Amino acid sequence: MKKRMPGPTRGLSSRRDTVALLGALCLFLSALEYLVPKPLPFFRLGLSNLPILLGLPFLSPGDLILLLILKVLGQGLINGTLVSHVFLFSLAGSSASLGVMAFVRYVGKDRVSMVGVSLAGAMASSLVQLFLAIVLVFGQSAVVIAPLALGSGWISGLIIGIFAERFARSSQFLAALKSHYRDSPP
Amino acid sequence: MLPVKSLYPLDITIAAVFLALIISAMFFTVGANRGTAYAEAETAEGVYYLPLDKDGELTVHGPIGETLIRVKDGAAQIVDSDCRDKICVTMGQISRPAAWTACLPNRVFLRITAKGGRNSEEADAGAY
Repeated sequence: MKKRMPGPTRGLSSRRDTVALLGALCLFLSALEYLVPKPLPFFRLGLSNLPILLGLPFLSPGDLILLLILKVLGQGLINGTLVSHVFLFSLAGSSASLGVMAFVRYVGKDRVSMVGVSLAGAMASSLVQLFLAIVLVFGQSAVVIAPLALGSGWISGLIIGIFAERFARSSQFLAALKSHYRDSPP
Repeated sequence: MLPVKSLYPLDITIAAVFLALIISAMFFTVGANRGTAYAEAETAEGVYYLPLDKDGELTVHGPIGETLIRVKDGAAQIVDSDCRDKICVTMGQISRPAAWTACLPNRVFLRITAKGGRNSEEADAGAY
């Protein structure tokens, strides 16, 4: 009989529960972000990327993809863009971001912090969304928004990365979640 | 804040590559602007080039109706459009290189370019 971790992981039994908890966090953070007015459509902090960034070091690839789907669905639901082309942008951006973040983490191992991972993810997401904007919606003229779109991605990637790094280092909640995930059945 | 010494070389590299990308994007968009300024209107009907030094108006047709573009005193502006929110109208005048405004519902993208674009045809001037 395994020892049950008290506190934050009480009530979680399987690995899927951890994913569900992180997914719920994405939903909550999307709602939180929705409160902040956006001066321009692409100025987003990307708070809901936080659970993915935090889960990256310990979730299995399959669970990461599941979390990604939960995040994109939650975001679409909160922003009311679930059934629009914006959803496609969000899905493509998030997928590219996750792929690149996992790659950077895999290559960098212990020689890269959350800041680098987050910035790489933000870069992938901004580039893919910019590419889609050029190809699908506006054509070549959309290139003019590139500096602004990429610049805001850099800033938000940096902020989220710094926060994630600090949080990952000090959070007991995350530590408990991590060890619970490792100890529980798939 | 996170102390800089807790960052790894790879972090700095990624940040620098990203930053270099942003700066080159800036040069790319601003550098393409020399010579006479034009307002380039990308519409469902095609691309129009309106010289900014000549006052005039142009009505273009998009998927939901008409959009009226006006050039006056060296600035371009969407004056009216058959869209719901009129965001394009409230965005006001644009005159600086690479400045832009757009009516998304009617697929009109108006921006300031300098060279008159890749293939500025005389037909555009005739649109006045």
